[in-house]
This record gives sequence, C-alpha cells and structure tokens, in this order.
Amino acid sequence: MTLQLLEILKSKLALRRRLTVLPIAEKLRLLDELRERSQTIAASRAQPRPAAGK
Amino acid sequence: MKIKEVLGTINQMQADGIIDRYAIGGAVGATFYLEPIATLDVDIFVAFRPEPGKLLVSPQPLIDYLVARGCRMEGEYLIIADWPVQFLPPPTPLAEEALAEAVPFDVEGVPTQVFSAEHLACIALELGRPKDKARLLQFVEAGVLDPARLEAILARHHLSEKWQRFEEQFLRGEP
Repeated sequence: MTLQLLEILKSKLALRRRLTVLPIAEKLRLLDELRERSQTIAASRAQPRPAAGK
Repeated sequence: MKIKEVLGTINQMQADGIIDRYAIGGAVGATFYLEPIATLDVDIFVAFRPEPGKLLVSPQPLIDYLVARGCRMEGEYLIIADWPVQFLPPPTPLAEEALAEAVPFDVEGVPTQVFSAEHLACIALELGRPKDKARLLQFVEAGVLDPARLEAILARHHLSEKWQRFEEQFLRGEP
C-alpha cells in the first residue's frame, strides 16, 4: 500500500511538472476549462437536493 | 480562449488611455510560471490615471469604458469574456514595485504584462495565508525563482525574517 502511494505521488509530481512546462497559451486554455468545471460543480451544489424517500 | 479576450480588452483599454501600466497578479499570474492554478477570477493591478482636476483617483472611467463595451459589473468584479476581473491599485510598496517591474509575455500574439515570479512569491509570503504558503512552495519546487533577485526583493521589503521562518517551517531538509 505504501509503495502504491509513493507511485501515485511520483506520478502526480510528474504530471505537475509536465503542466508547468506547457506553453503559456495552453496553460491559459486549461484555466478556462478549470473555471468552467468549477462553475459546473458549484451550480450542481446549488441545486436543491430531492427530499429523502422520493 | 476566453482569457485571451480578457487580455485583448485590457490592452485596448491601455491603448485608449483608460489605464497606464498594468500587470496580472494572483493565480492567473502564477500560472505563467507554474502549473495551471484553478481560479474563479483574474486580478489585474493597474496604475489608475487621475482625472483632470481631481486629486483622488477613481476607477469610474474604467468601469464606464467597459460597460459601454458590453461588460457588466458583478459585485466588485467586471465581467469580461465571462471572466470576473478585478482591477486593483497596488496595495503595498511591494505590489507597486511588482507593477513597475512586470515581465512582458506574449500569448499567441497578444502581448501582456505579468508580475515576475519573484514578486509573486514575495507577495504570497507577505500575505501568508495557507493558500499563499502552498503557492510559495509551488514556486520553490518549480525552480523558477532567481535566488539573487528573490533575496534582493525580500531585503528591500523587510521580508527576509519571514522568509527564514518559511524556510525553517517548510524547506528544512530540502535539497
């Protein structure tokens, strides 16, 4: 389990490094996408939950 | 790309004489040096132009200009190309220096100005909230800070001790 976790952390670090060296325009495009995702998540949170048992 | 539209609009504002120098700070500014950082708004630091005959600087001409071009106000934000944009005068001498020494970038043919990595790191240190410390760590880990330039800014703005505490807390044992 510990070894798996280390692999996951290594892979996350590698992804972050890949993202860091992307061209600026590509990173800004990703910002647009991240913001759209955040808005979608926020909107889904704002919707009232159906009452229990329905 | 919507954020490119934001940059184009700000450049046009500058060309039309609504603002003087500007620079991008905050998470969008940091994204020029780091991995993309999710954010909901764009922080633009600007030198506002004083209106003739007025001592106080007002953002009203800027608001009028953008509203006349189809942007709208939402709280303290102006919505440009769907992005909430906050126009801020530099609140500290450090931010003033960051604005004066902003770094030029080119985004697919659109020129823009961004706070330097060292200034963004020092501003994060100065603010000192948990998210700022996390960002400062990202700057250190990414290896994008020029040590001599960072040290000079820290010294000029009396942040050297704060940096030492940050180093002791987070970077002890780092290579």
